[in-house]
Amino acid sequence: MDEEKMNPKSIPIKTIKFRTIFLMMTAIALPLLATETSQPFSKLDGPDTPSGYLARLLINEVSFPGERAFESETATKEAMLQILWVLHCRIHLIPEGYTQQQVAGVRSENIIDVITGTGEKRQCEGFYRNKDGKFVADDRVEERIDYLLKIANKGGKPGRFSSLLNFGQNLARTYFKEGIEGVDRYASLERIGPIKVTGHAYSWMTDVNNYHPGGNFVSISSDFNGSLGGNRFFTLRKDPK
Amino acid sequence: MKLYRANRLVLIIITVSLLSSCRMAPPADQAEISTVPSELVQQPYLYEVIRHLYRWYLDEAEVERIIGSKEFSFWVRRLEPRLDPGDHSLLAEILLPQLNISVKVKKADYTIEEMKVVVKNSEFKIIQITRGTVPAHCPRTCQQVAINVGDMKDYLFRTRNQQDFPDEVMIERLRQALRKEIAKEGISVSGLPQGDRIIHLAPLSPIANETWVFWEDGRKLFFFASDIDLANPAVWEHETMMARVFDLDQQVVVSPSEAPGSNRFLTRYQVSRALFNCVVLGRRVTLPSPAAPDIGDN
Repeated sequence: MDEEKMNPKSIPIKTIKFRTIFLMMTAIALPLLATETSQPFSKLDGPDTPSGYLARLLINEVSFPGERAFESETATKEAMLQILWVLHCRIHLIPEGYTQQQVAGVRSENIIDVITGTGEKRQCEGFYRNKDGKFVADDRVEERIDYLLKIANKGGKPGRFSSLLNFGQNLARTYFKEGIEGVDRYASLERIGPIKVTGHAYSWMTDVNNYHPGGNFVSISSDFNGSLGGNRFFTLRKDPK
Repeated sequence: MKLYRANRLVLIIITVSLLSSCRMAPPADQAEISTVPSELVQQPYLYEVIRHLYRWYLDEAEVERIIGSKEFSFWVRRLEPRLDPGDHSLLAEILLPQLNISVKVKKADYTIEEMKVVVKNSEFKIIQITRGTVPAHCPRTCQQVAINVGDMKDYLFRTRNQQDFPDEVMIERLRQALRKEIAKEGISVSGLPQGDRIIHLAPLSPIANETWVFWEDGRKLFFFASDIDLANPAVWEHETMMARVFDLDQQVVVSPSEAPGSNRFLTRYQVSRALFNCVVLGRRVTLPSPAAPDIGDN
């Protein structure tokens, strides 16, 4: 051993050994790396899990590139966050003078119930409980989600579609673990034009054809960024009619 | 001493040049006004905006209110939201104070890398219409345009039945898209006999990338909308992303208050309007059953 150390010729031999080991390791690692990169850029939790179901709703309600009223990746992400805040507020932040039934159409602390509503009075189009009581989404919703996933997982690198899908899924997962990751931009609203309002948003609708959720809902104007990701958000009158 | 004088001279020159540049720069508001794209303040475009509203939104009382004025005002401003890198789209807002309606328009210009699709509109398209959010006074960032109400009224009357339909190539794309959509819906429509399907296409607006279609025997309304021009073949390759369906037996209420907060329903008034435009002003088209030969439009 000592002789070997002392012999200068032993150094190249060691280098060759090291090189051989390095090459062998690379040869082993390359297929593993290839496997890693062939993983999809985006994947959602199962539709029968709460986090997968919530993610589907958040994703289904917003505009992706190419869709009507798409503005930017940031605006679409903000819309998902605000939709989650609406659902949360419909459970935990019912304003004085209102009941949860009036605001959310249900009485429940379960966010899935708030999404599905009851019977024919579904709150979110395409999301409901089937006759066995399981929360499900319409085939159209699943078809659109599959389509978006297919686009997101195309090509050699992740793009806006995968960024948006992953954002929605992470938002949903985090909600069930820790709560909402992000601020409610409508929390401190006090007045929309001449109307005193409660703050927070309690409904959203596709921003087309002048939809309005009715009752005491007040459209949040563009001055307060009431339109996000192809949706219009609504707060409530401070003094119910 | 010389150095001091030289410095003083340089300071004076800088001060003078800064002052003169301050005087030359326009006020911030004026700078913003100047960025309003000229096509948005031209009468032909504003006429199209009001014709779109007249056909799809305005009711009797609102038309009465317009006719009662001598001039009709438009307040137009450029919007500059933070867009994604490489997105050169232009956005603007047209406020109609006499109707308390705001119309957001967009001239898209971006690429969807994943789909290899270029989204580029040749003109500004309506992407949003909102009621009740116009301020009492014209914002300083807006350019004001006034149009003679008499001329505008004549134009609306003259064009009230104008039917602009897509060309044959686009109708064929629409047919194919509808076949797919109807096939999906067919599963949920019970008791529907096999055979041809009758649909009614609403006239198109030249300044909106959207169209409504009534499926007569399925009793459903389809709403197709996109950021991409409907004349662009790419839009019909991705029809999954642009179609919404309303079941007229399930999703119609008289007032949204019947199901507060729900985003599922159209009002009977909205549906009436869509049906008038599809059935009365629209074009009836037969979709032959897949096995039968295509017999074309009626």
